[in-house]
Amino acid sequence: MTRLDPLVKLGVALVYVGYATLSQVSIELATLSLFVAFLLLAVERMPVRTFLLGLAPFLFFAVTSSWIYAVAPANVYGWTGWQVALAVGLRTVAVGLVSMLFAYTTEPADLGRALVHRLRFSRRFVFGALAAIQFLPSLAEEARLARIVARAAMPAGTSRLRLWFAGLSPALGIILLAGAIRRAGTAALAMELRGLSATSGRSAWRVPRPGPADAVFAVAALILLALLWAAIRL
Amino acid sequence: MPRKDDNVLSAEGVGVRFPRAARDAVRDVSLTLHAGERLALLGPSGSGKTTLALALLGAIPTLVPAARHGNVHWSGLGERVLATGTGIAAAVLQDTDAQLVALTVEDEIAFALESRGLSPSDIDARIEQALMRPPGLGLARRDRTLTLSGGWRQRLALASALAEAAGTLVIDEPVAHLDGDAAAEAVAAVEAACQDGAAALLIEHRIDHILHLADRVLVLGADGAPVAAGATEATLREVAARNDTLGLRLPAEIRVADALSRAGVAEGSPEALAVALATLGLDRKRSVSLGPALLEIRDASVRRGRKTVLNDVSLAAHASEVIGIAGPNGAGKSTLALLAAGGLAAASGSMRRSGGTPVYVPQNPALAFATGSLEAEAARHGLSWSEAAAAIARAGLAPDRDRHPLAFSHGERRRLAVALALAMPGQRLVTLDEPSSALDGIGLAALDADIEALRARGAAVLVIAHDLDWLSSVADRILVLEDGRSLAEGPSRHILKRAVEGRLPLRPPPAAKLAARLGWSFEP
Repeated sequence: MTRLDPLVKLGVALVYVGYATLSQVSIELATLSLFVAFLLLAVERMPVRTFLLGLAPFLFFAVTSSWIYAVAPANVYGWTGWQVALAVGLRTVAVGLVSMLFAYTTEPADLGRALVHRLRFSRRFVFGALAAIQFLPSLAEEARLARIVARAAMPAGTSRLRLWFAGLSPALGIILLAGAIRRAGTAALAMELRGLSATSGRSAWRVPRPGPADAVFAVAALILLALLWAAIRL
Repeated sequence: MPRKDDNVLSAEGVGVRFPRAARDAVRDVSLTLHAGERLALLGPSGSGKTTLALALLGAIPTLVPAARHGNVHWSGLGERVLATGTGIAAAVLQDTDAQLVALTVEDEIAFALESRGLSPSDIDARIEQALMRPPGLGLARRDRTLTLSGGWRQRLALASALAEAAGTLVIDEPVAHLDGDAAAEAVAAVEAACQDGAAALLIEHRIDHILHLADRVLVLGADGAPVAAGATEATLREVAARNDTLGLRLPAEIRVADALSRAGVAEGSPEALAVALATLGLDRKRSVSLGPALLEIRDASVRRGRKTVLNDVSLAAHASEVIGIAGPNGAGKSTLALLAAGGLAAASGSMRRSGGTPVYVPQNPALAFATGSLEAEAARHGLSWSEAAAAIARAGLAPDRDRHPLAFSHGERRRLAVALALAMPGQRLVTLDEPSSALDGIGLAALDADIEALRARGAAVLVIAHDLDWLSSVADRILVLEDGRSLAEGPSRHILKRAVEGRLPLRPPPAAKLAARLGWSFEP
């Protein structure tokens, strides 16, 4: 799926997300989730560890958001609390898996170019967002390093628990914020110096264009969704 | 591309003033630049070199809020205000870590080319070309920029600018984060572009690297006004002859030539070597008695994820000893330093540390602070405010107890971290990670003094640096790492000798090379 047009994939992903959002049927959401998980693990060969790490925040959100229904009095919307909780949790997982499949098979730079050149999104917005992605590992590395430095400054014999929390302070947030602001300023200047704001004579390099494979993909994806709908309801 | 010797840039009486500033950051600068010419902008930190470059490019006042006065004329720019993004000039900023904006190598190179309206086939051809020769050689089109090391990011920034084939290259510290070989490759790439007709405006503290690249230099004083200008070697000799070297890190051969001339000694004479060694700081004989071992690492390995980033490395450091750690980019120098400081755990091997709590000053000294005021920072280091204030004042900084450590400049933060380490009682391990990068001559002299003070205080000091000449002048021993392994270890002179003889993966350092040429045997 990595070779497919990013905008076609985005459209299909949005349809699937919309479908999952509207569905109330747990078996339907579970089937959808299993199907997307199969695509990720068996077809796209996503490493199991990456799969679990990517799914973890959705699972966390699924559990926390559905718990309130699970402990609610019986007969919410005519269902038991556990039934509602199951549907809410599975919906979160289904949306998460569809998002993961899209993100895993899409090159952000290709998506950015397609958004700018085909959907006329603002270059500042799209390339600014792509540049911001650059900061995340740098910020994570700075946070890691700051914590290692703080750990090194702990006196000998410090407990493991205190060592683990070393460096986790409001000051770390300020250090990271200061670093992020500096980076953002430099990145903005670098982009402008390379003609980000140039309005005339700009060319379009490697803009993804949909082809026959994309049409087949979109039709197949929609047919599968229709089959799922029919199998559950007819 | 303009023809050789065409005037590409002329500036007259250029000055810059930032909002609410009491005085101009740059004053009365006039210069011209011709096609194929290389002009180096030199000066101490804070002299306004970067500001001047941004003003010349039109980024001041267009993108950076400051007032520019005087006249700047770029040939062919017409009514446009920014010289970059047009094919007239291409710029590489000082902070290469933050200026990469695309997610893949090819997107990074294509960014400016697309803005200029080159056809997709031209863009593809230029990407191919940029990756077939230094500094882009070794990068692949689809490499993720996020995963590149600092050195490779700097190479990519430079390769992207070169791919623009602009009439003028404006490069702020092109070799600041590069090891010897990579720095030489970068300089050669700029030289090749200039031979094809591009002009270059270079800002660099490590003048040794660009001595033979720059045709002319323009030296700014601390107040942002020009203090010297002219042909590179003659002007630098002129600066060396002054009692005040304007805070420049003058190249070894300039310093030695000046010293020989002052001493009235001819280069080939027997006395020349002694003069040269004294000038370059290579004749230092330290009679320091080493104290107890504060650090003993044996066959330690460190893993990050599945990758072994340090492999069976051993290191011992004693009180009052300074140990240098050198090696190419990505060799594992910082990992070893963090292991020694206790911030990382070894996957195998053993480590014993004694003395007080170690101090680690990272490459980005902002990360050394964990509180929001100097007073809280003093308390974190186990110091009373009066002890800390005295140490901070001795370092030449204002001891304002409520001041946030990040309110100091980059160089001042490092001084602050070292000052607090100096004030802490007892012997301890102090690690300085690349403290000399991007320092001017004044900053380097202050750093030398700090390291000697730490030694006198009984600290075991680990210093990481790319500049082997400087490292050997402060360190008793040097450990050379490559690919996470220990490649060589020994007294600084022996390591210098091996580097000069080409037996280490380190570019022969200019000062040691010069001393060897004058007959130095690398023996005390």
